[in-house]
Amino acid sequence: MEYLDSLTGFRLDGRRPNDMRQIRGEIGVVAKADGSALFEMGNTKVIAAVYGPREVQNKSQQVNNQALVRCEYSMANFSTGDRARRPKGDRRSTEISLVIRQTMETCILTHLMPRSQIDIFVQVLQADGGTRSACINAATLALADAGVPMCDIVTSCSAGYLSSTPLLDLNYIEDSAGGPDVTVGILAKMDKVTLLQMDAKLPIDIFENVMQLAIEGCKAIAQYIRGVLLENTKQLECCRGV
Amino acid sequence: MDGQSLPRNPLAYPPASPRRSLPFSSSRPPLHSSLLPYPDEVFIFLAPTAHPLRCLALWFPAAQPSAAPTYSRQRVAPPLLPSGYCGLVSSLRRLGWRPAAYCSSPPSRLRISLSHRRALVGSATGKRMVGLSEGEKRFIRGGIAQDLRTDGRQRLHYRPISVETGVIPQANGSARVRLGATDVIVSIKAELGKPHPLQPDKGKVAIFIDCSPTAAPMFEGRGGEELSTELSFALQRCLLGGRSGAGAGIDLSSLLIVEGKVCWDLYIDGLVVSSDGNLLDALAAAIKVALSNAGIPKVTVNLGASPNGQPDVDVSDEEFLQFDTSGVPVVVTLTKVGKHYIVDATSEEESQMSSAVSISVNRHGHICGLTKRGGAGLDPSVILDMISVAKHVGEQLMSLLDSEIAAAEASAEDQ
Repeated sequence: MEYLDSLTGFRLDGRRPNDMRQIRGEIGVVAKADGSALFEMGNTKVIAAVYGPREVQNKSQQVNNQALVRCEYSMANFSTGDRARRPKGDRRSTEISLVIRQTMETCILTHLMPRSQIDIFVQVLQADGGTRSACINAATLALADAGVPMCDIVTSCSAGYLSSTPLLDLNYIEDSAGGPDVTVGILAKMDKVTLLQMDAKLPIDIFENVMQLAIEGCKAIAQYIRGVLLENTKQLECCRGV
Repeated sequence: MDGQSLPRNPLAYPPASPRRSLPFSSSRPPLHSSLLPYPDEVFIFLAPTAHPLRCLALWFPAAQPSAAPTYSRQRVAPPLLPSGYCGLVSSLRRLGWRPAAYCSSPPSRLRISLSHRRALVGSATGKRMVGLSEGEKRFIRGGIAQDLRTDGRQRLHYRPISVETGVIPQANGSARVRLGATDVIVSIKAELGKPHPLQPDKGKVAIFIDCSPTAAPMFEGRGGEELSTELSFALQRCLLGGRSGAGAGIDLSSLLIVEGKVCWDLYIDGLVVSSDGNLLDALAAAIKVALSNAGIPKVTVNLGASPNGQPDVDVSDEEFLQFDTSGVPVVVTLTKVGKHYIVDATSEEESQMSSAVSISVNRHGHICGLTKRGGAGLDPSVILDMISVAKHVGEQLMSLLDSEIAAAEASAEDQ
């Protein structure tokens, strides 16, 4: 299958190799949660809700010098093309929950909230490749909405290598092509990589280019997320009458 | 607005430990005089700060909601808050304040008990609203008795309903319905299947509901399974009729392609994204909207093409058939709180319910299904009374939904 038009250099969905899909973030989609956000990357659409910091529900998990961060990833039955009834807690969602939890834990100032618990729930409404990245971006927005102290904002983006070209932000068709898929998460301001995953093999010099492309994507998302947060803060300020 | 009397940065404001008496004057008549037996009682509101266990406090005399409230140590300018308790509560909630206590006599020392702190710090939707204070419970019950609920509605009024169609592009039909803070998404997927041997002339419909943990932390892991199953079965009872398929809101014979051989299997998947009470009504409304949005591909059958008797079915991906949804009922849940019953209860009101009856009503005013939940027994005459009320409310809801569907489809076509 041809993933890049040999004549024009466009991808299957009409993007250039280093184009991202359209991204959209919205804060406050779940009224009852302490913080919540919706994040869309093209057709991928996820909702994140944050509850806490609150008392630890299961006392045996309590950590005395820092906050306990928990995460659950779930996919809706209708999120993929063919309908499947998915059991809760299958291996894939457990792994993604762990990845999101570890990534978010690095940026939350957990030592400020000892003996408390922060729950992050992410729900995939539509899956079209890059759910991992979209979930992390949504969780960042939701944590910021909940007012959880963080040292920086984490953003994530994926990149791949198909038809000898590095491609930014793979969609489902490109993702299932079997090529390498590099998912990167960075702390935007400190410029540090907190998440790096790749499947398939890739020569090291090409890997460098692909990873650099993914980092560029992360930075673009970080800029967008900062804009969304600023806009939201302005609205809150207006509501408070300050 | 007198901005000067508000602290510039409320989050940086010191936590509540005030020692002062409250300003009182008796120049205005009390709003809910019968609700408030003692004019000295005060309502206390709390707002979270960045610190998990500290909060800001605000209080005002219960008998005079429009009087200037005290804000930690400072008074808030009166024009900031509208008069009347209902407007006051909702505008305070919008600003992040939560009702926390209802004390008799102004407190000389404001002690925030652990449960109030939990109400603030912890989630609002944890186990059946543990955070509800005694004062709030009394306020909810009293308001229902007086036909003026905490959000200003009357007993038989729905919250504003908002409808969106086509939210899941890969489904045959989908809808998102928001009822106040309750938010549900329903998608409909049609797959080719085989009819049930006992009903060879009918298609199959299955309803699955999922409660997302985003709606409440208690739905984490397998925590939402019980509620999901309860909702799925209640909806099946209300919309699909009995096992024979008689009395179903959806015409099952319209799903048949070849008798005894091929039919459409309709999978209705619901997801509760945000829950603030009355999930059943919201889900049923979303199913009705999604069905009217659904397009089932047109099929051409080539009988006898294959030797094993299995007909050859050609599914068109251009032509779609619309459903006839005029027979799909709406569900009206009447929640009994105290002596009265209300429609569209919020989760706070549901925590005070003694029992709830969900009645599905179709366009002709016929009862299509009924479910009673909750422990307390009901007098049979009350149930009959509830049914007649549900029929009346259901007619209004049906016409409201019809106009919302038309508006949603018009806006979807514009895009």
